[in-house]
Amino acid sequence: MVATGEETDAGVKSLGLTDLSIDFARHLVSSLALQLRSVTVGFRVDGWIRYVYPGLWPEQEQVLRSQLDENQRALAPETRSKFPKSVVDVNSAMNAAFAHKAASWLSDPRIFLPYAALGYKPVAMQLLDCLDRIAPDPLHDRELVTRWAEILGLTPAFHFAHHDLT
Amino acid sequence: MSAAGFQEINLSLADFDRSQLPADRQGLEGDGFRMAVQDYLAGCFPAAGGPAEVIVAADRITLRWSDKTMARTLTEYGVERLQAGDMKRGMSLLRLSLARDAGDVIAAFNLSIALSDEGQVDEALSLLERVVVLAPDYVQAWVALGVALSRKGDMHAAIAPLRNAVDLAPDDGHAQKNLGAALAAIRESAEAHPHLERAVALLPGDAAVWLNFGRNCEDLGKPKLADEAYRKAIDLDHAGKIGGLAEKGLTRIASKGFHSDGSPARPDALCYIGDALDRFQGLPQTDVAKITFEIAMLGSRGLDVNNPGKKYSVASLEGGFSGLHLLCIEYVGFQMIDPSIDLGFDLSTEYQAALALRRK
Repeated sequence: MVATGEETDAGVKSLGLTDLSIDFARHLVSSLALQLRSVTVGFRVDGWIRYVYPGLWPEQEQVLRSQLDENQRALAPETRSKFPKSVVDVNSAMNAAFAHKAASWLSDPRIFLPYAALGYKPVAMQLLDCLDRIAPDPLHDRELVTRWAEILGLTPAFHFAHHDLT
Repeated sequence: MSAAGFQEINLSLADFDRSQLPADRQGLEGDGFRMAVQDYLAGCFPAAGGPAEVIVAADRITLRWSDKTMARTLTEYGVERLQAGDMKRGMSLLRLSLARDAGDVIAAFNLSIALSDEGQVDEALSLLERVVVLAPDYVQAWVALGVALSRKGDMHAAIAPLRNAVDLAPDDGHAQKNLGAALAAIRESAEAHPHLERAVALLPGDAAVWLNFGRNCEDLGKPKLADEAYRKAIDLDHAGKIGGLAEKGLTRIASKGFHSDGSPARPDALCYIGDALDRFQGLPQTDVAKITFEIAMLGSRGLDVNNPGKKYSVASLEGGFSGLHLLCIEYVGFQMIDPSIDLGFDLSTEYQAALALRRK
């Protein structure tokens, strides 16, 4: 998953960031694209580890909670006020999906409530629905990323590049 | 964010999604809106698995809930694995913790200790240097930095961080102990002395501190104090390596004091060596070895050569013997079996004198 300068600028337009300095706006779009790639594939990897290596659950639980903490910090009004709403919403939507999944794995639905309070439940459900509907093998990772990008408005901001191992 | 077993999340009231409120409360403003949000969220938590404190004040929503099942932090879990001896997993968790938060000084400190123990001193040093910059009052980190430098063989460099530790916490026994040991290692015995003296007062159950203090007293020509310190170390680590080293220290002190009056040969030792030569005369080498090794074994648990009133017995010899008497028998035995073995106690003058008397 890579982005040309034109694609990043298209992402800037798509998220309505043209009023910002171009370097900062590009940085925000690139960060969201990186989060998109990490969270989607990360969900698959987390699920695979949980299923194949249940003995690693204590470590996985720690990592989940640590990630939740980090994501929850982004909910603070002081943090959200520093960034444009469109950026905050895309970031929070992915974090909400993560919180919903983590709440399920940790058997603690309270984890998701702050995201629901801010209205991210519908978009989180849409994102999670993709995880259920798209096959969980690596061959379908691009489809998953593409679908999430459509929901989040990040489609113009990247393309997939083909890599050969030889 | 979470503390131990506790969650607190702050949200902007303006960002609250009004569509979740009952239709007749969605249009409220001011305190009415705050009350509606409060009621709504307070009602959500019990259904979601537990109670929570919901505070809606001014422009902010604060959600707090305790979670008894809250897992330990990644750092705590890593430290716990290290304490359980699972070094690989513990270090891996602490590395992960640091990757998430490079400023986690507890993770960095504990990882550095593990790395140092595993012989990866350079990486440990790099981490500890970071820790003391981030947390300059972290006494244990200064101590660990000094210890890591001394493990690397750089005793002079080790002293500055250890001094920092002692300055920060004069009553920290480990800081005093390590500074004393580092100073002693570079032959600054006089300067090391007060630190080791303080360390034995602060850590009276630490055999290694007593051993170091004993050596320091010995270096400073204080045999009485050294003797007492070595005996403490032996009491605390009777069968261990430190106890063994302390015994050698005692033997050294006794040996040094043995000819301190300037006499060429101690008459009592001369007599005991003569007795040993008589006992061993005509005995097969195997019998000599049996007696000698039995005394050596007894000696490894400490023979008091300065107290003629204290008697010892060995299975291969009849009767009771003073410590010096047995040491003389052992000395003669080793001269017959393998003269290259050094007992750490010089009886050569008495031995040669006894042989000369026999030749007359």
